[in-house]
Formats: sequence, structure tokens, C-alpha cells
Amino acid sequence: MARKSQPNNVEVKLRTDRFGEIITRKENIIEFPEGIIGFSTYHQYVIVPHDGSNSLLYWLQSIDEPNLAFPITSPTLFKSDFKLDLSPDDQSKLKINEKTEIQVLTILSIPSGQPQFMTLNLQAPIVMNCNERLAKQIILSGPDYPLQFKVALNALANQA
Amino acid sequence: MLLLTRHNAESIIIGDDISIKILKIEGNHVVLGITAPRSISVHREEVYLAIKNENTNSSAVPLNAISSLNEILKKNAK
Repeated sequence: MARKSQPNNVEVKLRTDRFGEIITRKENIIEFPEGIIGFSTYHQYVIVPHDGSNSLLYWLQSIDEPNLAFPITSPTLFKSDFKLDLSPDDQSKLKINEKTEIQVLTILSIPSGQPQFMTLNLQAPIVMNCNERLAKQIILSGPDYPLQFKVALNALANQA
Repeated sequence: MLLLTRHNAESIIIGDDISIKILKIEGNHVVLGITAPRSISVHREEVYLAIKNENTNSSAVPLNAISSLNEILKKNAK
């Protein structure tokens, strides 16, 4: 087993508006070289579970801006046939090869006061290279990837 | 807005690191080749704006809305 280098184990304290002060490790920080679309000045995020270790819902919390966080989840939980279509350019930017462990996340939205009408942004999912802690919000096109995929809450695809 | 005229195969350079080349002109469309550093994203404008808008809406979802959703999901899972 590789010895973890000291710097990545260092604890980092974050101020967040939603969760107060949270403590995480440097190795949990995810780098977005291009940022999230429309929020290009923020490059570092951590993933915070909404509700403990069995949470289905998470937040992508900005390290630099305490107020900035995006609710995220795994798209395959709600659409089991979701398939990622990664362009060669995105593969290269994310340094992804056949051996890379990747994770796909989607940002969700809730129309005001109506959680039962949540939608998933399947057009612009987030792809993360887990080995490098490197991520990008990629853009997909076509009818399988709507910007606001309506989720049938009573047909939850599967439990992680 | 800066206006420049370019012919096919000519380029524009922005700053030191971004260049745009006209690769093909055909009817009313143009194929552009864009070179930019890794930290700069490049998107079709209407797509960028739609996604930016959706991201902004998502970033405004309050904590309690996600809590409500979480409860609904838990109920459905049973």
C-alpha cells in the first residue's frame, strides 16, 4: 500500500453557509480547471453528503465561496440507462484512460417549493477523474440528455 | 464589439493564448477551430447561456428543499 504523502492528509477547515464550518482532508478537494459553467472563477470544491453516510443527495460545495453549492446526485439512481458519452477532448482534459476510475454526477434543480418536481441536468453532467481528483462539467447533446430531466420520484431506479 | 474581417484559413488571436481559425466557410455556416488553454472553456453561446442559467437556479436551491426531497426519496425507497 502506498504511503499517503503528508500534505494530502492535512485537514482543511471550510466555512460554508449551509453547513457551517466543515472539516475535510486536502485529498477530498476536487479541482475544476474550467470551473462550473457560469462560475468560472471557482475551481475547488468538496462533496458533502446531505444526510450522513447513506445519503442519496450530495452538495458540491465551493471551497472559496461559502455561499456557493450545487445539489448533486448520481444520474443512474434516477435514470438507470444513463450512458456517458465522453468526447476525446474531454477525455484528454480529464486525463482519463481505460484504467481511470471515473464518477459521474448530475446537478439537480427544484422548482420553488416543489421538491416532487425535481429535475436533473443531464445535458451538463459533471465527470470526475477520481484518481486525480480532477473534474469538469461536460456538455452532451441529443434527446437522451435533456437540460431538465423530469424525475419520476415513485420510480427510483435503484438504491446505491 | 471589435469587428474584424477574416478569409477562409485566416485566424484571430486573443490575448497570448487563445486563437480562432476559420476552417471552412459554406453557405451560411462557418467551421471554426479554437485553441485555448485548459483553464478556458469554449462553448456555443446559446448552450452556454442555457446551462449557466440552469446552474444558477440549482445553486439557489435551499437546503430545506433538498431535505424535503430527501424525505420523499426515503419514503419511496421503502
